Amino acid sequence: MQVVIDLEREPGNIWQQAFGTDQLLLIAEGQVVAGFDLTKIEEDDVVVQDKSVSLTLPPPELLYFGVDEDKTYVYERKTGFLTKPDEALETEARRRAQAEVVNWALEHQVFEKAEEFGVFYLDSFLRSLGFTDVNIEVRDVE
Amino acid sequence: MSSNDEPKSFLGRYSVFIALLVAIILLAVVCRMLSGFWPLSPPPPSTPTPIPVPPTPTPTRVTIGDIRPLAELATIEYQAVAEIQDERVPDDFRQYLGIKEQVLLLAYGEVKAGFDLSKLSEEDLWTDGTRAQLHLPPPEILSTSIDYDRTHAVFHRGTLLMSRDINWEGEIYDTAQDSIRQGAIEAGILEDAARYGQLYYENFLRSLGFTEVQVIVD
Repeated sequence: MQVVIDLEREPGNIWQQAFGTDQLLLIAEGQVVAGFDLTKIEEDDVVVQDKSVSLTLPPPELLYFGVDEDKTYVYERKTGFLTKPDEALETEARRRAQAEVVNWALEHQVFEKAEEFGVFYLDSFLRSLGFTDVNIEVRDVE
Repeated sequence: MSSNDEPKSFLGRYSVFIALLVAIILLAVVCRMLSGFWPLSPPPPSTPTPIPVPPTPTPTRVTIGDIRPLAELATIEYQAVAEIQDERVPDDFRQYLGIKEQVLLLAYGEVKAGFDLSKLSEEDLWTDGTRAQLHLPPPEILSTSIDYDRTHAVFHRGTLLMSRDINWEGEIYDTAQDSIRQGAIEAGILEDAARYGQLYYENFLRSLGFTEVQVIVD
């Protein structure tokens, strides 16, 4: 997904108030992936009886997220007259972009969707292994 | 008398013009300060070091959202550091004066590798009673991300004699991300992903009751 980050330094003195500070507009593309950490499945979480299987999954979590640098760029950068550019501003904008991407995903129920897709996938996988009765549960977040 | 008066009135007119010009400039500066800041926010507190003020974010727009299902299994994660050194040299006479901009960026990041299980087809899974065979697709890089909290410029020497290139820092970050990904591949992340994936599925299939298990990775 794409986010637009508009950052501007607060003027630190009368010169910057008069002639402007540092301002940046970043267009960033990011990705968030949520799902199950299958290494957290323990022995007791898998119960098999003939053609019946019961699986308890850990709660879904954010597996990875980040900004795609290849598709991220600065649209505009303005620096006040005789003002030293802030070298940390662009990194700060990228950090905010990453946080915004994660926030957006959380607001759009990424965990609920990860659970829905994950359970559907594992159900199909277990059935293709020959199980006819598949029961998958997801543990609540502690 | 008239020859003495003429230069005096000339000077007088000139002084009025200068005074008017100064007044206009002062008025412009004061107007900008008044309209730009006073009505909206109080003047910033006077601190000994006023420069490192946190940036003010304006409302962020998330313009495109896309949620889609994935069937990925990440089996390994590498953490890496890339040291990116770059410089910009103007392509005119300034290069002979030694004018250039240099940066050394220390980029921290992580790479995850594993399997895209959506590439599995029916023929890749075979079971017969207590025997199971799974044919996994080749492992691949699933994600490469930069840790912006730890990434920083160790060294940055700029100059007022060169205009800013707004794409330069982005290119350096892009190079850093590629270097971290490439470094992980060269260090054997895909081989490790294959090994751990094989191990994971062997254990998972055994826990489902299969006693004879074979997992093949392309």
